[in-house]
Amino acid sequence: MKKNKVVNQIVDSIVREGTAVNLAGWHTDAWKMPQ
Amino acid sequence: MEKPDKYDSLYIMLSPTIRCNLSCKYCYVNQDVPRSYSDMNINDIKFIYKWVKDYAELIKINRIQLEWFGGEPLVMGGSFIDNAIEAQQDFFNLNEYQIHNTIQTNLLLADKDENIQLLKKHFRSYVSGSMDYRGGLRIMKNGKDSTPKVLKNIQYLQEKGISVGLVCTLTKTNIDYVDEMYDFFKSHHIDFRVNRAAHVDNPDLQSSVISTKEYSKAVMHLFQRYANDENPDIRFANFDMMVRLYLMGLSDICVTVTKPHLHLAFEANGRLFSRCRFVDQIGNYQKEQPQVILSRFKDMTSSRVAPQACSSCSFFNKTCMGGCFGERNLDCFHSDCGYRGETNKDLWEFLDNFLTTQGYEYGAYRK
Repeated sequence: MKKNKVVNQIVDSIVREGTAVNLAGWHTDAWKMPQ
Repeated sequence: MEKPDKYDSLYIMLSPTIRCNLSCKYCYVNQDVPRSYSDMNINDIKFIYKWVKDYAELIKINRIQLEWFGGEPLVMGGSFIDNAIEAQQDFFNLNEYQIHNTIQTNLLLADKDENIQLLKKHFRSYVSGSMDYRGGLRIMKNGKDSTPKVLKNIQYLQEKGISVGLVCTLTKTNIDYVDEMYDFFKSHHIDFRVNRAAHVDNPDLQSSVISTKEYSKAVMHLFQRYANDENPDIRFANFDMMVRLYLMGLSDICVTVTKPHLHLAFEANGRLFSRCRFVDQIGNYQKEQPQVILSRFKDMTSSRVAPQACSSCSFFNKTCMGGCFGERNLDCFHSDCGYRGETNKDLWEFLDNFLTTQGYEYGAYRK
């Protein structure tokens, strides 16, 4: 059962937006670059 | 050199100045900056754009993340950065290239009108700042703690419709207050990520630096707070990043390990670094062509050896590759990364157990 609210939000983000992953940036929003 | 995949983007850190209006006790910048160092001017920026365009063509990447950094980038003035970003369209066909500008600032000048306009115009009304909750190590030139002024500016930015995320450094001073920290950020609608203080050569700092274990323990505690929050109105970036990578089955946690050529940091006077300038200078962009720099990265990749401490870790190939989370560690993969690897292992063990228990699978959302 996948029930965690926070993780589900991340799943939604992956499915809905598609997300580039780049952790080098210091920026708190750096990985949020839309595809 | 690996072929680019669809997730790849070229990460550019651009520091138009290393001047700063703060004198943080853990700052690493002033340690190795030549006395001849100067600010960039607009022509310097344009030269870099041309260089980056050539480099991007070479590696066949059309997605660029450009982070404005420093020093403190806003000491250059909002109009300078505005003009510099406007000039991107002269070098990049924006139908062909996707450029995502971000800015990392100490927020001390963020209340100025031109900077508010800048954030709205070029940074999607989102700013990533730096402020340590109960920190006390981010000191203004007059010797006073910068936190009250930064907090005032954050409130002002939010009133102007600008969202704020914060990078918060954990030290001996605030590590016992992570619950309070979480409550504070949540009540003020501030996304945040935490880092450790870098190891800098400052005797005043040594008593403030926390250990690997102290750091991972604090982060795991914050993971629990965040994961069990019924109304997580903010984003705890450390958790989001790791969970995202886990669910997407991406092993290159730190693409600077597996794909170092995708990370370039530009400073004035031609100084070019890989990996956010935490390691050795890789070349001089004013004197060397992109092809030369790229070949240097190939040498770097082929000579890479995993740290011995990582060899027995079950997460090494699965999620880690020995890379870091940008957690402000100066030790790197190619040297002794023992203490960082220890942090990685603690956090992945925690998350793997948590996510598996909750029914999530590693790589379930691989694309």
